[in-house]
Amino acid sequence: MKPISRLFFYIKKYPLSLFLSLICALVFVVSMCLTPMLFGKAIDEITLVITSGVNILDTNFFFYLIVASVLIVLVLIFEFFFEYLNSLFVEKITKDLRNDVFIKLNNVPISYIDSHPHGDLVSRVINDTDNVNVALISGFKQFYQGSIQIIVTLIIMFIFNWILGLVVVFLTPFGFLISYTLAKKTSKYFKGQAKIVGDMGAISLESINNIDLIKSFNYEEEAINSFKEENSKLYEVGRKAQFAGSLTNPLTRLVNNSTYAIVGMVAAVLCALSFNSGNIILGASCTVGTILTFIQYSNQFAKPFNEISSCITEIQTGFSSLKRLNTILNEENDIDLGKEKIESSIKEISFNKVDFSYEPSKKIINDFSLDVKEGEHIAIVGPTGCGKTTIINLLLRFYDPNNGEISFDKTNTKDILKESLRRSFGMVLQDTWIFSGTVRENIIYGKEDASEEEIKEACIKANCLDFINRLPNGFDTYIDDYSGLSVGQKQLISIARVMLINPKIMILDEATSNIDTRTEMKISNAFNILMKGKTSFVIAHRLSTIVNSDLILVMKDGKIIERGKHKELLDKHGFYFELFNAQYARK
Amino acid sequence: MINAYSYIRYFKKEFILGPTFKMLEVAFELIMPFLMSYVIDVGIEAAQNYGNYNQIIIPGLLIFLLAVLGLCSTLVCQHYASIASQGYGTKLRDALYSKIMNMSLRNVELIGKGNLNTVLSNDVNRLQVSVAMMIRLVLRAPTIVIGSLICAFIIDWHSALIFLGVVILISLILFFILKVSSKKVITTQKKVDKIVTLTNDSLNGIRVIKAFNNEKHEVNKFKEKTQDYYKEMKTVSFINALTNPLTFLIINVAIVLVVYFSSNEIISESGLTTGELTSLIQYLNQCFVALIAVSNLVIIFTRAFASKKRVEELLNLNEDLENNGTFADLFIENGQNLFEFKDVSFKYNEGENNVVKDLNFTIKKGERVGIIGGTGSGKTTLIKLIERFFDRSEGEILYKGHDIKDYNLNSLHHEISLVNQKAVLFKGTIKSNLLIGKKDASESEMIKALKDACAYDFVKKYDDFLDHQVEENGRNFSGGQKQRLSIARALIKNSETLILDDSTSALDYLTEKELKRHIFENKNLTIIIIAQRVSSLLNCDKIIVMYHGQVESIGTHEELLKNSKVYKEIYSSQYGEGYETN
Repeated sequence: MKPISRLFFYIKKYPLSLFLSLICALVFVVSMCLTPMLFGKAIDEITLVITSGVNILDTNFFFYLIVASVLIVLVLIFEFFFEYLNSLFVEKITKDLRNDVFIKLNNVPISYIDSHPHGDLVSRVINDTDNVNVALISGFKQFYQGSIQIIVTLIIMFIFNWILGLVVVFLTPFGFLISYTLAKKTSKYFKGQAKIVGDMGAISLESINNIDLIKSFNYEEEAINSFKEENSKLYEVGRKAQFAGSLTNPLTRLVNNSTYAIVGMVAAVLCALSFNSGNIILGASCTVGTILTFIQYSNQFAKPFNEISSCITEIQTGFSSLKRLNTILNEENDIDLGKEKIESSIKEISFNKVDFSYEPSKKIINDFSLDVKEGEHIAIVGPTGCGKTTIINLLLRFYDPNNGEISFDKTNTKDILKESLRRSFGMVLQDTWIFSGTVRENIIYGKEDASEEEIKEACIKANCLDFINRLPNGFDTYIDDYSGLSVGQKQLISIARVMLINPKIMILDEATSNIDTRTEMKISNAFNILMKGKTSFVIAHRLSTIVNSDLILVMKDGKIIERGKHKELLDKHGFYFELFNAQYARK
Repeated sequence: MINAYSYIRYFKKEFILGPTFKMLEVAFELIMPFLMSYVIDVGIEAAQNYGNYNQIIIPGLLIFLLAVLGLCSTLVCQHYASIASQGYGTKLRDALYSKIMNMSLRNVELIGKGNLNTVLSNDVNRLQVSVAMMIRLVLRAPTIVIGSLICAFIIDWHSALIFLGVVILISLILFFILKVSSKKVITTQKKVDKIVTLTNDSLNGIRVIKAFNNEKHEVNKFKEKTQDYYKEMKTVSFINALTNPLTFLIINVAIVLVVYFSSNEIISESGLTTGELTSLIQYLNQCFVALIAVSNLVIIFTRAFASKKRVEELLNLNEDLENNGTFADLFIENGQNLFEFKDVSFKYNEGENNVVKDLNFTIKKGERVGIIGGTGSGKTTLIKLIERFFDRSEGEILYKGHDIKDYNLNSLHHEISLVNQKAVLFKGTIKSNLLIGKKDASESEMIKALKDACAYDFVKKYDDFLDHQVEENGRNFSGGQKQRLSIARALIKNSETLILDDSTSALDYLTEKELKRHIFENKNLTIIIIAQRVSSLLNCDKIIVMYHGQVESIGTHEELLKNSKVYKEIYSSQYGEGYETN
């Protein structure tokens, strides 16, 4: 879908708001445009009294003022509703857009999430939708209010006095032209400024985040100097950009004031010329009231033109944001062709000649075959780096093999419903995932309707009941990924989460570091409970796990290079042997 | 006490001339309606009666002239404003950045690195904008309002009273609306933060979410949050939608009143003319525009004042780390005491718990010391005390026989090399990163350091070799490569002491072994290694076991296996209960 049709798709959802705000805009703009005319008429009544010598005002005078008052109240009511409806309508679209982007992020293949920086995706959900919001609000306002205002003012002006109307129409575009050329001429300063601001942000982010390093290298002075250097560059560009940016308003004021002078002069001349012909000249009536009316009309007519330049930048920003959002929304969903459901236990998992790579040029798994019987424990070992999580990605079908197949009891996993497939796995990753919410919410994540007893039991098995009870509000303590809990505690909570659902196959990722010994013991005990009697795949770092496994897969540089039991691999004197000696043997 | 606005003092000239020229423009604009009323009252009559159009044309041209003069004086003002505000921002930014770079690590951690970055970018920017507005607009709007009011009094004091009422009424309404909406700004921001958190959570946990088949659940949570935000925005929209119509109402009701009341005066020819009436109406309209501008200014300044507070907190932070030590570049023999810790404790703030407590140990020159312990056991704090990033709260730390506080801080940092847990490279080239370690390092020194750090093999594969680009955060290097390069950077410094803070975790065991062999060759180098794994410390002369902020025991590997409960526990957790290594 094209960005524009995407936008219309959302706008079309709210036809009533669209229609009502159009009506409101019509009523309030017409009323607003008529008031200066009524004031002019009222003043003419006053002049009439003076020139005619009758010392009493005509009832028309009061009539004009009353109608003006009514119109003012109409403006109050309808302008309010116009602005309110308009922003509600846009807020609704923003909400829909945000929701849809988020839904899309949950439906795209995992490779999409893996290959895009998360900060960037979050920024789309938040900032880009916000830009679209701002553009729509000012866009609609300008489009409705501005265009109606221009048309209505134009009609009234020409009915009222076509000569003055022509003068205004002729002069107004100058303001628009000036700000347009100005914006074009000065955009390079703004671009330059944005670039330096970005560079400086990177410099300060880098140095502040690593300030201990800077101190330990006595590097403060150099850091300050390079910051100052960049900062003085910013001064030069920024000053010019600021000056250029502050030109628009004074220049439009010049055009408006010149129009004011010229309209005043022409009107006064017309007024004088037409005095003897009953205030009518060339079919246009001209009185003192007309002067006042036209001074105000020239302002009203110019206003939408003046505001269009700031509106255009907002719309440009909004549109490029819309394009970015649209590329996400146009992503293909991860389509599940599987239909089979896993009903009973899984007797055998087999990899049959599996090839896999994330990038075509870099083969990760080549012609890999493996049969795992129910209850077997598979350990995956190797130096830190990519590759070990690949097996998890393939088993849970976050990614699919390029060639070959993975099957459960002879059924290709591609034919199994993803939901059913994933339900049979329990997974604890080293990078534990704790979301913002209570401890309880985090634990019952896989089983919303778990009873209090079930939760307690899972926590006891996962060795985390004690510390949860010691938290300020126990299970109702609010936690998130950044605060409060240690890495080990977080891992225990994610173990409890898996305990609760009791899956058929386990995937475990042992933590390498940053966990103190006692917690590590607790975790390994909990792992043992989880794995008991179940088929399991463990990315292993602990010797006991490795030695006791039914099969060890040794990975290096993202490839499986050796496989076998502990003893067999040692006898091979290959990479595993070296690895094992370097890590565990003394001297 | 430094005031954040005190840097304005460098721009006195701009601050006087800028607003002066702006006022000039305002004066020009206030004269225009007078001229117009002259055209209406005198000019038209003269033209009608005597065919003399000069009294129309001349004032008209004068208005045009005033408009041009107004533009010129505004441009002068904008010019000064851009110099003053951008200059102010630059000075403030420099001052803040220097302050941050010279801040003690304790303060950095107390304030938070994220906050420091925000202050440096957003807060300074807001203050900079506010300075521009001070020159450009702060005087303009009130001058127009007051000037119009004065003009109104000159023309007709009855109508001027209506003016006064209007100004007060609109000010009250704007005040009320701004008060409510500035509060709402904070609550809506909170709702946005919740959406951000949830999105972040979901992206980070996408595998877990999918493994639990919980995508729908996440979407529903998200929809709840966006609905909350929508509700909040409904109120905001309501309030914002009131501003324009209400001001329009008041101004125009005032016009109706002015026209109504002055009609009698005009008719009775007691002074007021129609021309003057039209200028009154124009003044009212000018007030309308100016007051709307004021409401924008209030928003800018509310934000700026919040920023000012944060900036001043930073600028006025007391430096808690004194750097007036006189000892520097002292030489000691191998085997003499390099570091002595006597009953050392540290806490961040008075009244809080000690982070480390009663530390007692010595490190001799040339010794290889291991430090082991769980998370939160105080290992990293210990290093920060050695580097004197913090000052101890109690006890005594001696460096080369003198109180560490009496040792020049820069020399101390020069004599110690630190390789952090998290390997960090700075944007630039491999060379520029190595030069951080030693400004004038020769190419052969760099190659030596790279070889010792086991980094030479992959660096030499680059066509541009040492000039190979390092992207932000070194993201074009793998974890292991980054660690090796950051070790090379520390080695090139050629310090007396090298601290490796868990800095080989991403290396495979063979590389780690090789690297250690190179480093251990230099017998004059004192090496302090912090590690989680027993295997990393096997070659150390001495291992310090940390537990809950205290030294649990000190000894060699064999001694500790006999005497240290914690060490034994760590050992068995890594090697399995009773598993024999050989």
